[in-house]
Amino acid sequence: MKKIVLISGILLLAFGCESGTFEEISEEMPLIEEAHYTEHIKPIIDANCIECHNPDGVSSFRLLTNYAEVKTAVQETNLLDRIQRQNGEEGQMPQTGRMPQNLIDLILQWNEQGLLE
Amino acid sequence: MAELDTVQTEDTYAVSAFKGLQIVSLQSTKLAAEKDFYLAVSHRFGTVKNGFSEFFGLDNATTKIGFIYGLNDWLSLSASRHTLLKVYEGAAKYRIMRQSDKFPVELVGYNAIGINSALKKKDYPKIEFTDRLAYTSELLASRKFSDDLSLQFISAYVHKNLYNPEIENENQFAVGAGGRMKLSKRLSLNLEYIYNFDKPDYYTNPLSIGLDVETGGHIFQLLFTNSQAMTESGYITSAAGDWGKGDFFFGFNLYRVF
Repeated sequence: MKKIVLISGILLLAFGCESGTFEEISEEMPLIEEAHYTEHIKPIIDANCIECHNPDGVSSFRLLTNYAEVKTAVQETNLLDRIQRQNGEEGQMPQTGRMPQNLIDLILQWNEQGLLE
Repeated sequence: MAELDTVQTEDTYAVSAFKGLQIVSLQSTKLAAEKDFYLAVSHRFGTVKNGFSEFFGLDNATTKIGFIYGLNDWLSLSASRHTLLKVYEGAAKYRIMRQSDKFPVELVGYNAIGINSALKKKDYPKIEFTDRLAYTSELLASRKFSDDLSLQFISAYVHKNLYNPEIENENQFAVGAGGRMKLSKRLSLNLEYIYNFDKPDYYTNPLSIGLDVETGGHIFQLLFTNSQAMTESGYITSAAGDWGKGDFFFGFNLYRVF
């Protein structure tokens, strides 16, 4: 009997109820007319990439510390592709999990507008 | 080793359909014995498809460290931390029925809750704690056919409190099968496959093959899989590799019993 009570308890704990989407918990970003590296992109890179992609980090072979390095990564070493891959997909960046879609969109916008500094 | 060799004379239960707590990545029907404390360390490396440039995936390792404690002979609790998505996972595994002369299979339940701690409040301002949770409930049924062969059937239900509707469903139901074939006294070959009924095209179904190596107090499982995640929900629902394209992952599970 004790066993049945315990198992029922585990089962009660085991089912979630409502689900939400990533979009629902994201902030609505104001539309940015023209994306610039220093103002818009650098804060994203610093918060999500620089932990490894710095001279002392594990990914020091591909630095993302300044405008020129990030621009090179976009133009020559598929940065845009890597950040758009889904969780679980090989080579996805950042490795700890996909960035929020609005930040990815902003980097894509920056690329489309000519990678302005 | 003496206790492992003890022959049970009183009951007619089948013992140890599986040697490891996992078949490959999935849970097996084996439970920790009462008061047994297991330390579990697992690695999954990056895909092997990029060859030598990433040393067949060894450059991109993900790690799981956890422990399992046998509260009694039919219930064990576990906790683990995963580098992928910085997930903490807690789980309970409980035996419902034992395989015996009177009952054909071993029935075991498994419930896990994963907490994704990688999501930042700064990125997702409206996030609440419950958004980080993913639930997995499994019913495992195994049958030990002989000392050399055991098979297991798995049904699993995964619920994600937070999901990406472009690539996944919030509720997913999956069934699978796995087995263990003994090769020698200390070696066995293990295989498992899961079919996910609610999976959009983005991910694939997990297929894994492993080799159990027993060494004293250790169980060492070498494996290849197309699903890199080691959390229960991630493994079942987010397999991104494709065996057909040579896109799969090498890894191992290591158990130490105290």
